[in-house]
Amino acid sequence: MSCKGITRRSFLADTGMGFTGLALGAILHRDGVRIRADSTGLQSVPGGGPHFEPRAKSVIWIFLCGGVSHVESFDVKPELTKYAGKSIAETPYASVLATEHANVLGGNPSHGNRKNIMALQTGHRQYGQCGLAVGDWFSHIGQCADDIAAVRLLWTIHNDHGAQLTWQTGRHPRELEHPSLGAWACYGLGSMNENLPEFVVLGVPTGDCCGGAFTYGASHLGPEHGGVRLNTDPANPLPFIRPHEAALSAEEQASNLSLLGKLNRLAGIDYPDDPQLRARIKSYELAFQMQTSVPETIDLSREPAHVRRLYGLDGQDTKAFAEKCLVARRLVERGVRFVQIFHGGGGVVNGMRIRASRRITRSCPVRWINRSQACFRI
Amino acid sequence: MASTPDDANLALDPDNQFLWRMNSRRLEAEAVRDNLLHVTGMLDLATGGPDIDHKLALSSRRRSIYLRTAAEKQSEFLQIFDEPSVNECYQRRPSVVPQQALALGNSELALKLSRILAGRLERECGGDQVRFVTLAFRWVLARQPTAAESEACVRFLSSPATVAHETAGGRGSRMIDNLVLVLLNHNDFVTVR
Repeated sequence: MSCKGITRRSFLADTGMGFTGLALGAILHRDGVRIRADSTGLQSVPGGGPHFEPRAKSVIWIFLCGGVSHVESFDVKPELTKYAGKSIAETPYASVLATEHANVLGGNPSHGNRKNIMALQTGHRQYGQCGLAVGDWFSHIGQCADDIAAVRLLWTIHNDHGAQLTWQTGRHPRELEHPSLGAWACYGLGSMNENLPEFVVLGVPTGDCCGGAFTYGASHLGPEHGGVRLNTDPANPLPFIRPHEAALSAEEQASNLSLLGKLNRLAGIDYPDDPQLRARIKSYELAFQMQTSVPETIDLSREPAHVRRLYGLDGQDTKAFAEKCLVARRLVERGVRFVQIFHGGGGVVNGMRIRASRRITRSCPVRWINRSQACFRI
Repeated sequence: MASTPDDANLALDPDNQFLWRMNSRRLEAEAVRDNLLHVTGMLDLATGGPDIDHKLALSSRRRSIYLRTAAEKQSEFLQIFDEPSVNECYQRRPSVVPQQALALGNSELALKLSRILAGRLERECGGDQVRFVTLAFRWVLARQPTAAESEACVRFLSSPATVAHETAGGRGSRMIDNLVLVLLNHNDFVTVR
């Protein structure tokens, strides 16, 4: 059943039945990125406009699946070391066991029901003028303490991996699909380009237990606002990106698309309000553009040496993450509204800790901040 | 058709909140693949037998129901058309995404089948372009083309792109192959009204 809001919005956002044929020639010959939705032309905002003039145009969200230990990174709790080996009940904080957090703090039976406090596994010290306490594993990030914001006011009532989805949709996987943050942003603000999806997903999302496809879904906002997953491998960025055995030339594809748009519009005269037809016409136009725009965007071979170094593209430990970060940067430079990076998997446990923290800290985010080269408008 | 809008009702309830007509919907993933094979006369209707490796989805002619579907063993083509996840009670969430356009426009399956059907219709129509277009519409979309559709297709068949491609000696698709491919990508091909 179609939702009233979506139909109205799609109707206003689209001028008629797509632009196949009409604008194709212009698009084919256009260089660079065209910003369609400038600050005054945001035609697709529900309700007519943003509440205030936004400074940010794009978002790159790096989601480290499984997460790092907050108490050993940016939310250091020295008291854990002080009371190590004791149960919570034996500390001055025993009262927390009587609160709604009890099921988190009381120990998870399926994980061995551990109830004793473990000491911090790394040292820590304060950094910058703000005096941010950071675990020693993350000393590299600590050096930019004055340039980052650590948010420490979040908590959850869930005691397991499923809580991860709360970041993307505000809901637990058992509450099923709800629009993700990226979908909301694109639904509300519209696309800034015609060659790439408005919402791109890089890396492997959390497993189905913890969100899976829900992490980038659009749910009732409509399928066209969901994230599009891309690989960072230039040979295979997404399935069927090129005609099998190069059976079709670009010119043939363009003339096929032009006829297809014509026929779809002719057949659609009886269904002027069909959101699926509009979405399909749009998806064909975008798919055609993506055949050239996606391989171009993820081709990092022509990035200069200093950028490769900056991102850690040549380091064995940092390469996989660096590729995603640099592709994300190239995507927003080309007008993609929202890029969701997923990296890693599973919690950071025991022996993995130091290696994982090294991979993260030596890769991009630190260096962007460190050298003030952040062209990201986060 | 039950989904065709009625002017009076459309004015009263444009979003069909009161279900005065059928909402259009997209074919399920398996039906998209089966239909590709069926309209080109290539669907193997054999029943039973062991399951078929999911990697053979683009080359096998068997019905999609016989393709293996298990965790990490799902056909990419079917997944793109929202084949249900194997561990979520087989709930379907139909989407409209550019990957579907790429799968129907660029895949080995769609390209091969469009060539097969175009070759067969070519023999049947004896070089009559109008007849070719009519037959192609009947086979792929199960209806006659309107006058405007027929005209657009005939113009396509004799467009300069054909000449350019043929003189270049390309061993790729011919214009009639392209026309069938376009119809396989038509909104009506995947839409149930």
